[in-house]
Amino acid sequence: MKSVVLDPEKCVGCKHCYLACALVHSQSDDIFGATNESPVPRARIFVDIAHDQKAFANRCRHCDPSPCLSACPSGAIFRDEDTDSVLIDQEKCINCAMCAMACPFGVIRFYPEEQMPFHRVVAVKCDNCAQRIREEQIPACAEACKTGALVYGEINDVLRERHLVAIRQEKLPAEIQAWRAMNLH
Amino acid sequence: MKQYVIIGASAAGIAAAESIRRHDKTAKIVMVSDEMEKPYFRVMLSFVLAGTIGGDKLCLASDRYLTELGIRFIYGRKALGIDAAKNQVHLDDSTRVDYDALLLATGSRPRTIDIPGLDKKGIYYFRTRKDMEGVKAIAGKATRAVVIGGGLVGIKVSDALCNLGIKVHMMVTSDKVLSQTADPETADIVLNILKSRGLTVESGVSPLAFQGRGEFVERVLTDTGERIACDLVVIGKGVVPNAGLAGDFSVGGDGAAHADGIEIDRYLATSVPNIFAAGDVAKSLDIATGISEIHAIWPVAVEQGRIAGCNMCGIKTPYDGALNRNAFHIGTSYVITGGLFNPGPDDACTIHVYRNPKKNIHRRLVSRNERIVGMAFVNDIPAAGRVLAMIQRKQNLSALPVDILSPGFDFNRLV
Repeated sequence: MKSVVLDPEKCVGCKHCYLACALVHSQSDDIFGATNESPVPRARIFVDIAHDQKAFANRCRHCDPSPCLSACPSGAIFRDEDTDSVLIDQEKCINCAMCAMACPFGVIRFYPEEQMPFHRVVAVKCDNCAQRIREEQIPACAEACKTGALVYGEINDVLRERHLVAIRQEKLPAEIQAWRAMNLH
Repeated sequence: MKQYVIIGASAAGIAAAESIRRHDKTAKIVMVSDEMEKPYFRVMLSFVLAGTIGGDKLCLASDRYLTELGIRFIYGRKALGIDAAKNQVHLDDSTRVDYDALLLATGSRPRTIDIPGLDKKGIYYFRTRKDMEGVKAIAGKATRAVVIGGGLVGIKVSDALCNLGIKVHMMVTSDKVLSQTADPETADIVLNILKSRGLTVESGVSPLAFQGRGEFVERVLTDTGERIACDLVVIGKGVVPNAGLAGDFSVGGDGAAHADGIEIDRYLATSVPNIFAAGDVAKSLDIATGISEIHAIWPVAVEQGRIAGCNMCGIKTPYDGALNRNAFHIGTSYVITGGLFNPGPDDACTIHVYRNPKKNIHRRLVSRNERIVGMAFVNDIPAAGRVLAMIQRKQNLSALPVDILSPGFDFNRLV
């Protein structure tokens, strides 16, 4: 199964992923056009500051079994078998917040949606860039990540690689180390 | 080839069928439903009433989907009894269905009230699709409605009727609305939203009789001596589990113990071999309170259905217990509550409240022994999901390097 995996050690909180995500979900697909759109395009990935003061790019894990899918009382949330993603059929969404109640990561939000009649408010979450994957591109957040914190790949390969890095006791890239040193208080 | 029988075709039943099919590709699955309709999303009924979604969106499992899953669906038949010795279910058309494993997912029915005049037309419980269609047909020409009960059903129906431009009068027997679903502050927030849309609420009042000259209800007589004129009455006084089937045949304890649900173990099995129970009808351990009780909510029914399906196939899967929780959207506010949000004086809990009127945020956290056991949030959606997950995991707060109980804590720091 291919997925986007985060290495929190490498995340510096630059929000490139955040911007790329909003952009890829905009109508104009252009940074200047996007800021003038109504409703404003929203990112589905969030950069939070975790309790150890490190940045953390927080994104839907596309869990299986998925709590939001089980909780959805309108059948709007479904699993797309091709890309192994949990997606929302916004036509069916009734904006009831049950999915947000069920999500332990807090990555489902409610926004007015351009494609809905009267820009109706619906649940919005990471779609794993399913369309881009079908077009053999990688998810926008992983593509935009400058530090290698967000990596798209076969999940076991990514994790194995990370273990190897730990075993080799490789140091973080010099820039990230310098950045961390600057931010220590 | 094994034959699995599921009684009840709503959240738990369908989830169980999907789960069985995932683990056993060849088994026969028989589903018995006492309604004539295809399975539907019960939670959405009030949305269809309000007209925000079309009736066509109610379908939970289409004929094609049921065929794909390979389910033999028996419509409009009630299961009358279980012969546990022969592993058979008796249906009301005197047929018998054999089972290797049986799931009781019979759900619940509205708690009835017994007062004169209940036979008048225009009086509905709000539980099934048929109820909703009845209310909808009358709502078209009604101008005044009485809603009896201030629970989630009462609130949602009132919201829908207000949307249709009907003047709604709500009658609550206890002194607060949403006493089972939210803390008093949250209930007030919800009530103010509804009041701004023309709802009148009267608490501490019970109906005594329904009256009308013709066959239709025209007014409600209350125990305070008032007469409230109306064209429509909706009763939402909570639900009771449909545990009769198990009670008659001593599944899960003795017959008398069944009024409040079927006892199940960690594997969702009843005390009788090969019989399982899930959904509104099953009593399971509550994560927050530690008491075995009914959790009549959709997500719990789906979870239990899925896990019961695994266990029916012989894949031993424990269930950690359920958590009572609710989420709904009213006006422009989202309300999410869960666990022990209204602790009594004996519960030895501490309540932490944070309010941010500027952002319209209200948060209530209930803690006990360094654990969060209850929460009620208005408009703080990402945090609500995280807190509920902490309650479910029984996370010990002392292990966290942050003081999350301090007012205004930024829950983003918990990722």
